[in-house]
Amino acid sequence: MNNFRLTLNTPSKLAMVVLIDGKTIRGKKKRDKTIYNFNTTKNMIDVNIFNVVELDSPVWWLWSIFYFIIGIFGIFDRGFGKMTDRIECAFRVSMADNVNMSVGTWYKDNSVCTVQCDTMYKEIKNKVWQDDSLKKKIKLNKLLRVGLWLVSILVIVAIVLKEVL
Amino acid sequence: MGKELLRQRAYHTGTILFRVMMLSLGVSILCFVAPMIQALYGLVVLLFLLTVILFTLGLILLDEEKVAWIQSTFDHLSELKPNLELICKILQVMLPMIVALSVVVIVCQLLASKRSFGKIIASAIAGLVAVTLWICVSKGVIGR
Repeated sequence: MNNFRLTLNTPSKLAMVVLIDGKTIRGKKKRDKTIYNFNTTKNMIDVNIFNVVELDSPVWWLWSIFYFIIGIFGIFDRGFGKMTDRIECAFRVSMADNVNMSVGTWYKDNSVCTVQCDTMYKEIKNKVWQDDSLKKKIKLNKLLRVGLWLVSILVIVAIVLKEVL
Repeated sequence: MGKELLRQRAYHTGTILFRVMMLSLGVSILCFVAPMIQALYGLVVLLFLLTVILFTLGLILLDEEKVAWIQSTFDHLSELKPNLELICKILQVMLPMIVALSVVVIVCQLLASKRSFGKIIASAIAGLVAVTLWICVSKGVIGR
């Protein structure tokens, strides 16, 4: 059995997903790093690393309304965050007894992740970028919140007027 | 990706509900303590009057008008009585809600991508406190 150990060094605010041969692997956090262990008998493995944001969902606006309601006019809501960074990496790694691989980001200017590996690996994809569609969704969410506030105020005023008159 | 999204939503929902639950618990504890404050007023007034007596005995200038004003303020305060019926009604709604919220928060935290054991423990404690207060309210501790 070969052991593959992946050390991911990415900002803690990013929710990273690691797929090895199509299977999601859960990692253990150690300070600013996350360590993933995977055992296999194969000679080659496919490693996919990417991040997921709540705003990726097509119904993110519905969830925003839901959070607004349960967060009592959004007062207790933590928001979707302002991170618009995207990471997408894919590698094909040759396996040996114990393989250590570390993938990390980044200095703000970098458009790729830095990779270190004990064995041979093929880089299929390695991309780090700022997602403009996320920026747009964050702005839309702000507008949505303003709209929800206006609607809430109108509803409250209507209820009060109905009670008074 | 779908699973990770669900985990993030669970974390988000759990965090919001945790904050709402803590606020509700704070309000409930205040409501629960409010009738007891009535009894505390007496002690406060007594201590204050004692201080005033000590001051007057010490021949420090406190004219009659000021003493009368302070006394009337405290008399007015001690006349204030909390509406026990309303408090009981509020608590009977809030406490079961807090218990339910604590369960939901714990479930959300267990499902979340970033598990916060602090929040799980705090929710469990909040739930237990709410249950205890609920038992007290249902046994008429406040209403008497």
